[in-house]
Amino acid sequence: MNFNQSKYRITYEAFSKFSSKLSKAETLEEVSKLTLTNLKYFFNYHSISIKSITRNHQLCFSFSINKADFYYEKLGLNIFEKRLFERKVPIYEELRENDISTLTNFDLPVLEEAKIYASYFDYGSTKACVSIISDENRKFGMDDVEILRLLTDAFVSKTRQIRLKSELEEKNEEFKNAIQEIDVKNKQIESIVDTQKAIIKIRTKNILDKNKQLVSILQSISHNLQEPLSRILGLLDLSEGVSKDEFIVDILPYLKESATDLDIIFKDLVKKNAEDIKLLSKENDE
Amino acid sequence: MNNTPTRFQVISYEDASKEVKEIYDDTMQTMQIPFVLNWFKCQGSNPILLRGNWAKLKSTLLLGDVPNVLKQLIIFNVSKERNCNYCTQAHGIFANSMTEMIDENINFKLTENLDSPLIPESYKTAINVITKAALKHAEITDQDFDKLKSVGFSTSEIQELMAQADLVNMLNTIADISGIKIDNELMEAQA
Repeated sequence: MNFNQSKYRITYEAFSKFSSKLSKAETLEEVSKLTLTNLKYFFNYHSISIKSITRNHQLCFSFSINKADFYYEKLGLNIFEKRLFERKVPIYEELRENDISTLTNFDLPVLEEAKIYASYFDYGSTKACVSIISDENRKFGMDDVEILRLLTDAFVSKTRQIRLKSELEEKNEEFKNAIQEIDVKNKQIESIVDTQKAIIKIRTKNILDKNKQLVSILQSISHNLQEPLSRILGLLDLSEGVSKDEFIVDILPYLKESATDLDIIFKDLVKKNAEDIKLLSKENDE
Repeated sequence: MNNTPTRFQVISYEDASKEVKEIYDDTMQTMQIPFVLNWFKCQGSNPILLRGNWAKLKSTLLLGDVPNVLKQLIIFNVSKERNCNYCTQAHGIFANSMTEMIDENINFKLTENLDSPLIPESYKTAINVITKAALKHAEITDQDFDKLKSVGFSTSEIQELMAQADLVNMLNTIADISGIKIDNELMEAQA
């Protein structure tokens, strides 16, 4: 008779139910509670510790007969786990009293010929160490190893799945926050662009207004200077057919008068528009 | 050993009323067996009792969180202690068949090895305490509850286990007083 197979046959139903419920578990708390409920149906034990190690962090589950606990901690291995990591060979040996407290967080009853069974499991990026404390009253034997292996496979697979899901949800949350931040920044940029557009619009309008003012000034200058300038040009035309004396007597006084008028008008225009030109210059400088 | 001839009318599936047929169907579907057990057929003339007793059996033995194989072992053990031939054989067959799922060629009968180190202490403790609860319920003490707790059973599981004690008393009582014989189909399945 195959001892391991017979053991598995007895625990088959309990393990099937456990696997079915485990597949529906969504949190580490549920996994912990479910495992605690079912361990007693699989084999005898006083305390079990399951550590799954991924990169630099480890997830530790600890079970006694009636209690369960789990926590994350930075890499820290007890002496048996260090041996397992080095040699990867299962450990099955007597346990000294002093070593018990390093293996479990729970108070155990006085043990008779305490033993430890510890095994190493490699799941690629995740490694797991399982340590079981048993004694003469609750013997964990080699015939229990097969069901322990199945339990560990299912357990670590589920806890990895929950942890990855949790990490994914955290990343999604970060991603959502980043998108929200980008949205806020985009709105700020849009607001800045709108402000710039408004400023450009105002400035364009100012430039157009100033251009209109400049054209108006030029038109005014042109119009006021036209009349004396025409007179001077007319007198110069007349001067072509007269002698020097006639020019001095008949044309020059009028020419002087027209030039003086031109000077007066020019000074007056300069005076009148100086303030506007000064203002325009100042605005342009800004 | 109970050699009493059947005292209640055994109603076959073919002769059953529509209401009784529905209950028979539910027993076969739930227990995943292709025939109706004599334990149900001897109650087939009284649909009200049959419905109530089936509901009790279904919710106590077949549903719940405690492994069915453990419950079957409890029923088997109490029935054996009480010499209820029908229930000893029937539930012995159920318990053994549940442990033959992997390889039926392996010669290991669970019911003949209740002290085997292959059986976890939690099973053994539950079988002992619940057998006591069924046979000597007045002697059950807080220490018995503590024994169950000490091997990891929760209050809810203990309640489910204790329910097997009153269930097996009903099963044994009906099987014995009706005088039913073990089902031929079950014996053939065991052979």
